[in-house]
Amino acid sequence: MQPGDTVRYEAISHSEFINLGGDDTPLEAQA
Amino acid sequence: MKPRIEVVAIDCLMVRLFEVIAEDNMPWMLAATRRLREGFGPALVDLVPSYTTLMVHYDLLALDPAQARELIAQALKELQPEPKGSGQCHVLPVWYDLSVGPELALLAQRSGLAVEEVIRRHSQHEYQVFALGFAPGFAFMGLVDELLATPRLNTPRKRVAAGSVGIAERQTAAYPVVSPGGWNLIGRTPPSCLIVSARATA
Repeated sequence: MQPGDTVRYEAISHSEFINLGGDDTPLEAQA
Repeated sequence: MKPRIEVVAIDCLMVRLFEVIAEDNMPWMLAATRRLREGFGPALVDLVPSYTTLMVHYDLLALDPAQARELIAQALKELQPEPKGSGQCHVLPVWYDLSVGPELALLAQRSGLAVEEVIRRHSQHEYQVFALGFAPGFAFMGLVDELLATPRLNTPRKRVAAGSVGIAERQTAAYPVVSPGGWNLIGRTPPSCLIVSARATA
């Protein structure tokens, strides 16, 4: 990304998040 | 637009193009960035765009400060905005959830909106990338819906997970790496999506 680019945030489900390699560890557990 | 030039250092000038942060600034900022790069050529060490300013770091062995000011004046002469849509559009998938975005509840409470409406409002807008900073790959974007604007946390977290998506005032961003941070977290994007997005730009 660089200035001048644009970004859209797309809401996804938990299962989609996991399939994309996301880490669902709750924030407080990571602190 | 009445640009002002401010001295940052002996070899660095700040060009202030606007006084107020606005999405409409960007076509002008991009045009000024391009013209300054062309004008300074190899004498340019670095050019740092931000919300309303451009920092011009030049080679003092190639230019003296008066010459640098003249190059800036020439670059901004009869400036026209860049066409809209000249940048790349990135799509970041976000899992909005209280477990990874605990301030969803705070934003809902402050705005009087349901959590689902907070999510809808955050994800319905196409945000401008205004500047890079804070950490490598950290992109400051905006402008967030006024109802969602929320000040930074009084006490920043010592550790924010990579991919965390947050809001600070009318800015939004995704943390590319684990770091401290004081933004209001509302969700998380898989860090691999941020890396892919960065590679696409490189």
